[in-house]
Amino acid sequence: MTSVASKRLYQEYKHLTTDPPEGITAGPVSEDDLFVWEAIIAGPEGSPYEGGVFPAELKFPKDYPLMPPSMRFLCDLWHPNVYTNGNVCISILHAPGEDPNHYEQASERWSPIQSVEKILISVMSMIAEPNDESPANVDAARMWRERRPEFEKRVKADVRKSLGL
Amino acid sequence: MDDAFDIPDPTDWLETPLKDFSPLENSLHCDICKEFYDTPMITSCCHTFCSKCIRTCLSANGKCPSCQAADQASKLRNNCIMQTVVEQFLVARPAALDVARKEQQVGEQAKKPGKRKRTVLDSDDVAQEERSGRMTRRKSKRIAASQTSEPETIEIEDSDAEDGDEAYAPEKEADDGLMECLFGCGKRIKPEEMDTHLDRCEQEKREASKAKSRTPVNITNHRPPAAPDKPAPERISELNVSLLNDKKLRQKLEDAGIPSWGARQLVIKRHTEWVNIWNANCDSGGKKSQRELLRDLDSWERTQGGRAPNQNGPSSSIMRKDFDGVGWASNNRQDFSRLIADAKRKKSNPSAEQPATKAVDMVDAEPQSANGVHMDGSDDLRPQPLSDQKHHLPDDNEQPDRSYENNAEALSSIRDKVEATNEGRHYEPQINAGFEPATTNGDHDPTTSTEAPTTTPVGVEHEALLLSSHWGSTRKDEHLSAHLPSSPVKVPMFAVPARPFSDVDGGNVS
Repeated sequence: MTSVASKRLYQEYKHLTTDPPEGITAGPVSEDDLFVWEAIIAGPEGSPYEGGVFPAELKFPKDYPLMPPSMRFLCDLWHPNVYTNGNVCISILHAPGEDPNHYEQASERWSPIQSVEKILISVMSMIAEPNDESPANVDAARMWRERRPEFEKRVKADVRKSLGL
Repeated sequence: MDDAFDIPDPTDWLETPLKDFSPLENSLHCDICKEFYDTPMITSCCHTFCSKCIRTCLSANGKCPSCQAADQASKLRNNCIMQTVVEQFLVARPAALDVARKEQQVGEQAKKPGKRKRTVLDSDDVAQEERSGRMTRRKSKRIAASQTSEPETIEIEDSDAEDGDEAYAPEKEADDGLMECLFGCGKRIKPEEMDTHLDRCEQEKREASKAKSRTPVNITNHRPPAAPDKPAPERISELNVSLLNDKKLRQKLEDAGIPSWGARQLVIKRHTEWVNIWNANCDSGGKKSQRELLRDLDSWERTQGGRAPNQNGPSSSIMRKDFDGVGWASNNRQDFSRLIADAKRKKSNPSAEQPATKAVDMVDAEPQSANGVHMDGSDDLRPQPLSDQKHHLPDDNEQPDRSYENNAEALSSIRDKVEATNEGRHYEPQINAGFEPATTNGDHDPTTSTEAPTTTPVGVEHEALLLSSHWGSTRKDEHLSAHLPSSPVKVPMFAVPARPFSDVDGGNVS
């Protein structure tokens, strides 16, 4: 039994394994269930997150690609656009109809023509360049805006801790 | 999983000399399903998607996925040229990819001469493996598979195979003063005759390609427009659900021939999906039957509809990898051992229940069918009873199986019946063992019995004919007799089935 969603997920999986974008690895956790993926994103170079490795979980709805997946980091990530529980707040993951913060362009939001690859690339660039207009983590956003050195210090410490250094 | 899902992918081209084919192939993909366009449709905003994909999107939010412009499914138009391009690309793809991979291997081997014993290790997979550290096991497997499975598609001499001109150029150097045909038909012509040749060559080529392309196109997609024998199905429109109450809505679904169970929301979703499936099929010229469309709907039902697995956790229909088999076995030990015991018991006396009930059925059926039918005495019309071999009647005299020959009891019972039917009286079936052998050397004459049908009502004869054909098919089930007990049982020799049977061959039963 293959649904539209699982076919497309397999197609994307194949594409991501044969031609992965730099710093990104992603695939289903188990071959039994194509609807739960794990992704690993490398901290972007030139950002305080550089050198870090951030695992995340992607959960796809049954009507993917009509609806976007949800994404949650499985590690602590101190970032203005990541909720403290790890959920990622990024416009590409918001379904066309919903706009929790009423500032997003429709073209920035999820559409079936997007893909896992594009999500992960967007998240990677979001990590490098936080958007503090609609922070998910207000404390992190304030720290990022007002006390940048402290923010960077904390992030670097987190990265080192996560790597066991 | 790899084999079941071996999908052509643009990344196949990346490591070959033809890596520019990757974006080309990508542009032949639908942005929604990321596969080759299937019945591409163009929107009002001039974006192209598969029919089913764009219909699903528009029914969900009424916007083009690419530019978010509002659009309606009714405004979609077929993008015929894209359809043709995709079909032709798919025809050309395997050969081109093969050539590209061969070329790449040649290049690889030339680059590292003498590094290893090529004569021994000159296998394609090894070369592939060595070339790229990043290549996954799956890919190398796939490459190997494609190389072993379709070697016959390699047509290197075909200049259309995008092989680049450099391999082709040296052949032009021939000193006979002739020029090779510019269209690559392989002929060599005097320069002054080139023009006329080209005209002819072009014509020939066009016709050849037309003939060549017709087959694959028909196989994959195109139905000639407006086939006279089967009119294209008409598109259906979406329901205005707000105007329909629950009952009417369900009625609409039943009228459409699709299931109408479930909550109202599900029913609406199902109808929307059905409209999309149906109309996408219309777009493609109706290449699928309604049965196939219903199967598609069913697969939607099982993946996204009312019978979809629970969203939490993996679908229940698939056994998990970490399934605790031992735990399950110990928890359900009782049930398993009961089933095993049942099976063993059945195996030890297979003949006990089934045949016995059959025999009883036959006897029970007897009283209702006792009238008239017994008069049928002709040999060829005689049904073969489902009983022991010894009681088989001869079909005709040539039949080699004469197991009844030395069985006086059986012979006597046969004669008894033949006499009875010849005289037109009813034959009362009895336990065969109770019969006394009447005459031991009286010859069985089939010709006498053929007179019997004259006394038989026409309807009965007809029925008997049907009957014999019916039994004829069951007679092949020789194994049935093996299950029957060898002791004589209460089986009437001239019985009709208790239930009326229908003529499966389509003939009319009066």
